[in-house]
Amino acid sequence: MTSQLFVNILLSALSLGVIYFLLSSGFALVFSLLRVSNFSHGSLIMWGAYLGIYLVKALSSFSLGLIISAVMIGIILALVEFFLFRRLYGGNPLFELLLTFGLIYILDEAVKLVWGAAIITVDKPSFLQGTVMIYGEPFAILRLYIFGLGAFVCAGLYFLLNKTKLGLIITAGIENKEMVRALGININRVFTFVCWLGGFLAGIAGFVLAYFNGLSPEMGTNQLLNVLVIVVVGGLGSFMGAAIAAVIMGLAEAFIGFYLPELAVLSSFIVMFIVLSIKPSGLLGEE
Amino acid sequence: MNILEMHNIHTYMAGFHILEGVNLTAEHGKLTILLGRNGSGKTTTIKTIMGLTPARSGEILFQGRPIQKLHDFEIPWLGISLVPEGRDVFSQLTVEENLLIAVRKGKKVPKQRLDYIVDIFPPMKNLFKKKGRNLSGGEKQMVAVARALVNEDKLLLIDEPTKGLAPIMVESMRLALAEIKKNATIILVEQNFEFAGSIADDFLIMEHGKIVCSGEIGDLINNREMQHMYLGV
Ligand SMILES: Nc1ncnc2c1ncn2[C@@H]1O[C@H](COP(=O)(O)OP(=O)(O)O)[C@@H](O)[C@H]1O
Ligand SMILES: [Mg+2]
Repeated sequence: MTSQLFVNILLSALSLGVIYFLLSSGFALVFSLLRVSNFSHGSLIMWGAYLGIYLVKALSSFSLGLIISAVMIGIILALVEFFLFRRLYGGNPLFELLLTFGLIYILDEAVKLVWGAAIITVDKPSFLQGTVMIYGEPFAILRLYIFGLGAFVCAGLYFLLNKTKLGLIITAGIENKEMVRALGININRVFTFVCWLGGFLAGIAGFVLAYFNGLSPEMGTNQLLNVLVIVVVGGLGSFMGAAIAAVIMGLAEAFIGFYLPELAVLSSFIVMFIVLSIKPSGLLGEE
Repeated sequence: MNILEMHNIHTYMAGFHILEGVNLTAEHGKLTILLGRNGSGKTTTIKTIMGLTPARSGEILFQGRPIQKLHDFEIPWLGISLVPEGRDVFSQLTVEENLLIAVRKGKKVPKQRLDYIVDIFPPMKNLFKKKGRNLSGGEKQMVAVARALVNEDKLLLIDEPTKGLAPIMVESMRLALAEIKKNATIILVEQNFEFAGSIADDFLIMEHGKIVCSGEIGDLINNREMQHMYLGV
């Protein structure tokens, strides 16, 4: 392989990793604090895609469409937390499973009612079309944009979780909710915020995905399996682990896809198999 | 004046009747120790005051005001801090952050509180940047107590601060508590009677979810028979 080709595959791999990070970070964040497996995360991603693309057209603004739709998807999940999840904490996990599966049906059918079941193609705005030359090889501007967005989201999350008091509370709450409450903190409010943030991230992920794959009612649930694999590989409950796993998945998919194309669809399971045989609790999961 | 009173408190956990009518008082400005064998309900009493294991019935008065119906997260705002039995220092946060997260008003630990903390625990000044998970047991205990000092609270509930500590650490904890006691009312759960006896003003003895005996510490120190009966000393 030439070094140019290698760099090109590497860049594709990393942008895939960034997409996986965007897809899974919201789920991982909500799971790590609330211990709720929100199986409707994929459907929120899909809603982020439809709503985002709709708003881009309606407002004739790419960035407004992205931000407003992501904020609104966040509000959906915050409301779900406030009115529904909250009744289930400490109860039978089966209820949580039933609830979030129920949400999948509601969200998926609602999208079909509004926009129909057919696949919709999405036109890239002119500034995302074309390629740039990187290291003598063409590279799609769209992927470059994904990088930028991923880096921005990553930096924002890093800042929030590590440099703000709210972030300290989230980190502390992941470890020990009782002690957080004993310090006089209303952790239920933090739960609602984290669900808003999880939905916000799902919204961004869906928006990005739309520019790669177009819109279809199955687009979110199709990604759910990837999200679950990433979260398990990263270590259940570890937000950082999921971020690392997302990048590894991107690398594996791109490189396995190049060398062993017939195994490409299985790449995430190959990674999962290897990681879990070495460390059954996942990359950063507690034993 | 009593800073805290519990009247006929009943608490259940996982369906078990743990506190079976606790009556106690703690006098303002004093250090009251709560003694009793393992499993007698001392930790549950502390958690019930904090609202973490809410009482099913009975009344808890803090400075004369009923608090048993408040949410757990509202209780610290009255001026009550907890040093829990397991220390519960957040392992992913630095010591500095462990203190910061406890600050209720304002955005940082007030300088004067920080000085006070370092005064009481001199080794703390080299720990601020360390993550909780890298602390020794004795260091964790210091941080757990320090965390309860950042807000200048009126009542501190301290659950077995010497559990598992080396003798030298036990002694420095004793000195620290003697100092802290000058500015706050303390209810201290302790198994180590020798340790507790040396700094307490009053005592309470628990057995099977009830307070069975209470008084001034001197009465207990002079009463071998009582010590033997309740504490197995
Ligand atoms: N989560 C729980 N569920 C059921 N029983 C518990 C729980 N926690 C403690 N207990 C029981 O409550 C009793 C009192 O416990 P605790 O308050 O921790 O006692 P102490 O602090 O005096 O050792 C013990 O018999 C203990 O087994
Ligand atoms: Mg105890």
